[in-house]
Amino acid sequence: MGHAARFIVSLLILAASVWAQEGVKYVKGRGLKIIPLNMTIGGYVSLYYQKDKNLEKFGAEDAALLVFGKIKDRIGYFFEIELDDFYQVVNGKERVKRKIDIERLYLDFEINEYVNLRLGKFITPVGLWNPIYINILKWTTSDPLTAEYFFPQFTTGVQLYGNLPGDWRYFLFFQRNKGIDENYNNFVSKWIIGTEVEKDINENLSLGFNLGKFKLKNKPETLTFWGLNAKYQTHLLEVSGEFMYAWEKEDYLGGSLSYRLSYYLQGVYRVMPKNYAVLRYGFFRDKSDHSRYRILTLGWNFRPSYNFVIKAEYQLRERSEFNKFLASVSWLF
Amino acid sequence: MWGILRTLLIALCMSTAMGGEIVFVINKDVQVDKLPKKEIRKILLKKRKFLKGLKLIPLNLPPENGLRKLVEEKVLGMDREEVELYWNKSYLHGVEPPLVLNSEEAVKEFVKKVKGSIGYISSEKLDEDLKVIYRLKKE
Repeated sequence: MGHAARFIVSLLILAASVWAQEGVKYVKGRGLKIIPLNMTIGGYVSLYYQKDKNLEKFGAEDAALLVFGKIKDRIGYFFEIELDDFYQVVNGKERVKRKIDIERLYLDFEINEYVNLRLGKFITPVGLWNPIYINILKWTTSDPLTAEYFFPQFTTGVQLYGNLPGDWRYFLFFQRNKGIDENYNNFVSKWIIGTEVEKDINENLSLGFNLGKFKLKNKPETLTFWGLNAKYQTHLLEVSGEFMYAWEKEDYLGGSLSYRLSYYLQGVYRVMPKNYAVLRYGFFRDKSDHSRYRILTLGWNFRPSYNFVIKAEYQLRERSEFNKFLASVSWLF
Repeated sequence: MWGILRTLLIALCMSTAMGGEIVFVINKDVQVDKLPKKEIRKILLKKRKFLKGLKLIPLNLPPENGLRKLVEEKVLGMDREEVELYWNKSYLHGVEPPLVLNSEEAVKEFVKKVKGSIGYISSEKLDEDLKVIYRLKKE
């Protein structure tokens, strides 16, 4: 049994042993609160289905367990482990994966309103989509390409963040060490440095800007990225968009520079209570292999309860043979 | 005659209960006099964590409470569905919704004892041991 599996078993034994005690309660979609320990244990599960011309697959996309709480008044911790794609059926063939990944593991030090410190493995605080990449939080099962090809989704290092006067927020992050479970990331990096700055214009509108650089581990490429994002939200409508641009030094092309860019614009409309229609247009272009994608996504998001969501979407692509249907069910506990 | 007077008295009591204000209160020893609605909103959503160096503890009333519904509508500018979706995001980043206390009396007692706590009660229940930092009309 691996370390992570042993940890889960210990955690479940701990949860079971305190279940019947005073100061322990379960709140739907908000986890098991162990008040004497100042600890919350929760998680989420997602099932998905995908079908296009050549591929049909379904399975369990992720099952995650979260443990977070306070060690002291201003010191918190957060731990998340995940079984990613642990059961899949691809074109009728069954695949089982039994690897538990550490998705997040960090300590938070709340110093004051302006400066807070996070140490460990955390979600890279870049853009609108990356911080909400978890299935139950997203309006669609799929992700726009801005979230996948421009920066590492996780950083293991130091993050400074806080609020500044005038409704500004900032995030600074650095990594110069081996990442925790470093292969559970879209890029394996030798080092990362970056920032995101956000401004609330009013209650409805926020804008963001990011900039960063990272060096791939055991590869010659260094990528520099920047991006812009905006979100406008009212009771019934949410309009959001992101633009990302990255240039890359490619030694195997004689040190020449290549670039990639991507953007999306998404509208979400609450058609009736608990039902949301989603429309997203996304674009991606990569100079190095001359690839280009344009994807129009039409989706529906049904939330019978705040901790349970059913989603379906259809992606229209430039070449219709790549059109795709996706659906998923997610439960937060 | 008595019947008419009684009806008028009941109507007067009801209008007093329905009207009035919701007051946001803080411990009287905290060196803050007033906060704008925008800051109260940030505190309730846990987007603002400190006030004059004090760690803030926002307090809520139970979901079915009438004052809470008014606060969600008029201060947060959200309906219940939006509020729950907001806390889904926060929960998955380790931030939990405000502590829920069962009654306005419990809110008053908590605020008197814990310096960084902020709660809301009806103005009729206000007493001199609490400091009002924001007033919201019920209607």
